[in-house]
Amino acid sequence: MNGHLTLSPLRQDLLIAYLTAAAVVAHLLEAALPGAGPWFKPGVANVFALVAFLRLGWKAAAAVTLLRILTSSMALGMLFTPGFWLSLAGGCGAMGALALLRLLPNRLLGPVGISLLAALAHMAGQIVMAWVWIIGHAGILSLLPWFLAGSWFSGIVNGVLTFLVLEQLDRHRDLLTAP
Amino acid sequence: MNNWRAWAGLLAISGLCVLWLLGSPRQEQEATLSETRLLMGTLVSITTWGHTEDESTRVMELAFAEIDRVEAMMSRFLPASAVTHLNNAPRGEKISALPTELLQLIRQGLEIGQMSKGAFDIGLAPLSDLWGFSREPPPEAPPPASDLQHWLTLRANLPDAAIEITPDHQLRLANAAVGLDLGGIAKGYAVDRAMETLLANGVTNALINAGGDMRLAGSKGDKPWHIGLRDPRQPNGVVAVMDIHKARAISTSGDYERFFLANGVRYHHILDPKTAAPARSGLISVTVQATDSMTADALSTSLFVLGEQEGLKLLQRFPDCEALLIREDGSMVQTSGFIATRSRSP
Amino acid sequence: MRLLTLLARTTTPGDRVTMALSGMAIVGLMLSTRGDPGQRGVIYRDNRPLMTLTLNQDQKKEVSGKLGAVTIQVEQGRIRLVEYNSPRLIGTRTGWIQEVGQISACVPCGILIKVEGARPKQPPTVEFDAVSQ
Repeated sequence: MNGHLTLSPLRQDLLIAYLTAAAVVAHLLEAALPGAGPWFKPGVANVFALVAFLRLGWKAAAAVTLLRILTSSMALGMLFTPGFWLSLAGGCGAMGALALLRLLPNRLLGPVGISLLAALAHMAGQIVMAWVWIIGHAGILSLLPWFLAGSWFSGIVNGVLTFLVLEQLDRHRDLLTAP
Repeated sequence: MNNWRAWAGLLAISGLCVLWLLGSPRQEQEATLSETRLLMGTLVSITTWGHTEDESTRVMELAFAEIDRVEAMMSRFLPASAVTHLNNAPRGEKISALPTELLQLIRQGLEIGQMSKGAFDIGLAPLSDLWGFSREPPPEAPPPASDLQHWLTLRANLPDAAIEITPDHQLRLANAAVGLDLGGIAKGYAVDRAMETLLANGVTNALINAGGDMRLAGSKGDKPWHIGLRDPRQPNGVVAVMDIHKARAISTSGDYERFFLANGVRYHHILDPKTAAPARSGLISVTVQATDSMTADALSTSLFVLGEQEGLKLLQRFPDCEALLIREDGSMVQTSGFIATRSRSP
Repeated sequence: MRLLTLLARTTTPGDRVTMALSGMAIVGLMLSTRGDPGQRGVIYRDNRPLMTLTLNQDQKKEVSGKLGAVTIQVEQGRIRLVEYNSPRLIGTRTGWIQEVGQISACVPCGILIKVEGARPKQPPTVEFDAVSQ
């Protein structure tokens, strides 16, 4: 399931734009989801960042994530609000994990494993941000295992989704690579 | 299929891990357990080592109840106590039906009073009230000199037995200059009773600390109880360390516990009956180590009032009692058997 | 079963090991903090529990002590007795407390506050078992 596409810079940017657009839509839909609360969302938007990571590389994934957070926050009118910083911290955590995962042998982890670890890092990043800046005391840390358990499930679900998206993408590889 | 075997293996391993986490023995036996209550006008802490939490909690409860019982009998601030009953009775009249335990403690207090040639006095309630160190808010100025003079005059008229216990176990207070204040002895006695309660119920490693009156038993396994001695002039400083792993009682009397400053003079709560004023003997802190807390309590007060020379002389008459004195200039002197592993000049 | 088939199809052995290990780590974390609803400040008046304040929520409470009202403040997971005009108010000198087992008291008011909660695995190292004073 791993393996980068070799695309022209223009096609690469185009794919990044498509993935970002899809991620923004997912992000906005999740924000509109009732009852999920600010704390826990499945994070389907991350599926598209993972697709970018697995097909275009880390920089593309970082671009998708950063653009997604900025655009969605702007659309929701929460740019530079605590919610925005939480998202950003989560994104940074996940990107950090992906950067480290590049050091592993290529075939060791598939989309599910990568998604899972990124999701846990995402949550860890958010918790640390919430702890040091927004909540400011250790009470939040006692909830950490529960948040991580949620991330564990959503990470696996998103990993499976990523796998399925990649399957579709690879089926249409000819469209992407056609001259 | 290979995959499914791997799944099953992982499941088994996770199951084992969960069992291991659930079943791992809690190491509470190795830890100290501590409980603090507000009793006798101070914070009383009991610490135990090497006992299960259930056992420790149960026995500590009994010990606290014992302190509560002693306080209810001997506090002069509780309206229903036997001591209050005594102090409210007309002077010169014999009071009967007093608890044997109280009479016994008063006898011991009177004995130490005699040995200290009056420096230790359990009859100073009226003088203590004049100074008002137990008042809230605490005083900010000494009482009028005329009041103190009046007390001294009244006291000069006292017979030798200002507090008299008759052969038929009744008690008589001679005149208005005398009233029972067991503050210098009852706290130590209560700590002794609490420790006896702990020991009688099988708690053998314990530390009771009642605001400066302390009693220890056993140790923390291979480690001794690690006790600091407060720096008389720096509230968070320590001038000596006492590492003790045997049954011992420690009591400290200092001029810094309750005091106020007025016109540059430090007025503290340890009163000298001879002058009706805070004792000025050249000492600012006295720590006594003894076998029981009551003796340590009474002796630390006595030595503080008597000063270095007379105090150490008195100490020699008590077997197995040791002292560390801190003089006004901060220098320290300690008797040969005083347990202090490290000490420095304050 | 179809879910499992899907999972089996979409995961590598490495993925499965990752899932199992991280799942176990999270369960372990849950067990090690189990039953801990966070720390609370328990207020005692004359050694009887008067009220319990959760330290997760900033608040101010007035309780009646022997000498009148005493204010207790919770902020950022810490608790303290607010300044009361008495040199014998140990609580004022103690300041904020937040570790399980820590105590602050106003002796003349008969008020004692204690932080309660799950006993820490590693008990805090205190320099002395007691200080003679």
